[in-house]
Amino acid sequence: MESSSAPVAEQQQQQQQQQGGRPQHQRKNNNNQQRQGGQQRNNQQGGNNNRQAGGGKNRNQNNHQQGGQQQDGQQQQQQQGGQGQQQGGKHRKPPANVESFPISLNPQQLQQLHQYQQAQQAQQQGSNQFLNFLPPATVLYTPVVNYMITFLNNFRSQSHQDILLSYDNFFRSCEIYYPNCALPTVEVFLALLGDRIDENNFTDKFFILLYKEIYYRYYYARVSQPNIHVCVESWQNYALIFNTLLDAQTPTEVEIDLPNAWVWDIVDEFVYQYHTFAKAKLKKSDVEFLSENPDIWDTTSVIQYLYFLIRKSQIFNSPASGTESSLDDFCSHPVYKMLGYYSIISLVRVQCLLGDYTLALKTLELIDMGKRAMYTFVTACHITLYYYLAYAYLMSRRYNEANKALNTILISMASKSKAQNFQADHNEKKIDKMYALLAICQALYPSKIDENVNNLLKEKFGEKLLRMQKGEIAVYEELFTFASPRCVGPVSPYISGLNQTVFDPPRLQLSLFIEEVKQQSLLTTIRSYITLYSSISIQKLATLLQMDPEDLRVKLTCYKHKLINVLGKGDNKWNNQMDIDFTIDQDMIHIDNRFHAKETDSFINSILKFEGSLKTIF
Amino acid sequence: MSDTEQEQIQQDDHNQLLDVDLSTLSTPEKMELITNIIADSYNINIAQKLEQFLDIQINENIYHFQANSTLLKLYQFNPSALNKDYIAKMLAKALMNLPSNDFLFLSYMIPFSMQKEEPLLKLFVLNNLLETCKFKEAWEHIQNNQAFFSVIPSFVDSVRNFVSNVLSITYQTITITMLVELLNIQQGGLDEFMSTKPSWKSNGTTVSLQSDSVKQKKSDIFTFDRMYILSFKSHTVYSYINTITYHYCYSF
Repeated sequence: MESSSAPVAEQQQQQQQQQGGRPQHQRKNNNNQQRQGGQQRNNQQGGNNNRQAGGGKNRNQNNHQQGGQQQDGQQQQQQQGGQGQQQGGKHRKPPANVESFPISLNPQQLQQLHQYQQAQQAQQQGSNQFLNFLPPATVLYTPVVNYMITFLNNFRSQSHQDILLSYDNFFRSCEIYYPNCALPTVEVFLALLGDRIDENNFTDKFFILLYKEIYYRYYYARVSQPNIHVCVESWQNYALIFNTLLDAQTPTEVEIDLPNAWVWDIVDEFVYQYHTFAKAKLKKSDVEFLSENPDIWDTTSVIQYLYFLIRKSQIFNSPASGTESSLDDFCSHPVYKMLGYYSIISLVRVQCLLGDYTLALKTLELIDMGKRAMYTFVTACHITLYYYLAYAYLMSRRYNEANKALNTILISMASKSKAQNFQADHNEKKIDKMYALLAICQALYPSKIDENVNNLLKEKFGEKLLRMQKGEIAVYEELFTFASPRCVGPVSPYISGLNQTVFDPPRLQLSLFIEEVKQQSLLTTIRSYITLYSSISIQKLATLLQMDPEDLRVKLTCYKHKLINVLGKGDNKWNNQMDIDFTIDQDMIHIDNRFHAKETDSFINSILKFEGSLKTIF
Repeated sequence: MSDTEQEQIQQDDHNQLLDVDLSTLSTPEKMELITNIIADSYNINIAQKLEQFLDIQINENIYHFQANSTLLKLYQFNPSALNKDYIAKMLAKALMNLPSNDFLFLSYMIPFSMQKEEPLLKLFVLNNLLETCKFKEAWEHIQNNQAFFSVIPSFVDSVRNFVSNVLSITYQTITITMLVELLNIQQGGLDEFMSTKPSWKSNGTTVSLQSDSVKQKKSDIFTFDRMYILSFKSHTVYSYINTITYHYCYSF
């Protein structure tokens, strides 16, 4: 889902291994035993006569309209019960007292599962053959099937609200019922639904594609680096989705409607999977496999898809009047419009990952950055946009702009109520990263930020900020590594023939940034000294700083140069109250402290005002 | 018209653009052509044209950052086509365009190991010296690599121009000996150089680098006049406050 989710997946896996990885079928037996107990405890399960799979299905058909709400209630109870039993191990095991029936796996899956279980039982620490393997689902739970059917019906009804609700519900139920394995494949559901799904119908066909997308997204969220076959299958599925949308001649053909959050998730996940693939260290067998399929997760192909989606959406050349809706006006179709819009933001992300910050900032100019702009619809999108915007500013040395951008987003995030959906976790992580970026920017270029944001910043990184202001390069390095996205090269080393260590994009970005910090070193110290004076001789300041006067002269010149650089070309306006400026008159430094000047001005002004109001009183 | 047809036509137009001989065009026409070409920024076929254009930029002393960064991007995507000499050329052009951040932007896309090797290393060293305003060392460095830098027309002039701009924003007045040293200019050549800078004025042994209006603005700090106004006003305020308390007490 997001790059930050990778460690979670790893952690989960480790825990899973630590648990000793109780074999799947054994667990199922346990479930059956516990299920009986559970049913005796709370009899809302619908009775014992629904043991058979067929019976369960019928029941679903009858009350799937209300299914969602009922299931919610059940779930909460189950969660409570589950927590009591397991103590701390949250969601590690699927709930027990739920009706379920086994999925028949194909021979290949069975073999893999068997090997996986053996490896887990043997607890082989050294072998990481199955480190990036997610066992297939072996059991189909009735509530999940219910959610699925509600989901499909809502999808057909094309109502934003209902789809979004069942989309969230489905994900939540999956997290409860399939914590340690992949979702059931689409074939399982297809076999179950039978003739209730019409593969010739566009909407149903598209739903199948989208379900597969969810399947792979779930896989990626749990496994940090899926094996090459999963990557390829997922890529092919994305290609199918995007090609279907791009091939449509008129918007009326595409009889679907997706909530914004879902559209964002699709595009975002597309880029996340690209990023995962580009970061991966490929094995030799993978390389051979890939040389036959060269455009799988290829940077150019990824960018091309994003470009095509933007162009198809006509988001930039939509009819100005907006009244005439011609037949091929894709911008009037909400899915295309949002898809195009989110593709722009994702394109910015790709450009940042490739280190092309000029292009990224240029692309961002296309987007309306108003307060009620479209990126605010989905919180994750809002965060992503500002994160990459601030990062691009930081790398362009425009610390002031980066400060402003981070300040804006962090204010609006602080005021937002914390939604408890499945994305909340890595939104939080992104916000932490943004605070780290803010700390770096504040250390390089202090500027006024919101009070609350400042307090939180001090709470999170206060000590580090102080150390950075003292010029500790190591802290810059640490925070930058934590906060920056992991940059990638456009061509995997296996094609370019260059060694990974030779062409190492993250290290390149880091070293260039540290170089910049070194160039700026001592400038903050000098700044803090000259704030205290209105004029001082170079000689005296050099003694205070314990450095050579000639070196100080160079540093002062550098200070002026960097200051102009930060504020932007030709823009000498005072846009910051904390700025101080100085000029050198041969051997004297004259300091112009705007902050003090403003203070005196405001004192005089308010005294004059006071006098004026007194006059009106008498 | 369907999208594919449209694309086909666009593609044809584009191929035609690539057939045009750059050397036959005037400068603005060239600029326009290049802007059209780089719209298709992931097509390796345009790389040759952009290399040719980079040579023209150097010889005719014009500059087009977007064209150069597109070329670098193409190298990034197609490592087999990479040509270090052209990277060196575009970095030199970026240095000539200081204080903009062009050099920095380009360096984000150049493999780390390549930055530590010649011919790029000397450019990165020079960039560092100029960015940290160690102008004396920078001139020494240029002198030591005379063979490389002197090939590029007006490279030295551009660097000197950058240095003089940084000095103008830093110094109100500077001694001639220091100025001559930082600009790496002969005593006699200074007058000629100063004739290109209308705001610079020579006062015997020193040169004032900032126009009077800037100086005026900068020296607009707290003065005794304003201090006087303030104390005077506050005096009257006190008397008013006394009157208020007087009225207040007697009203009861």
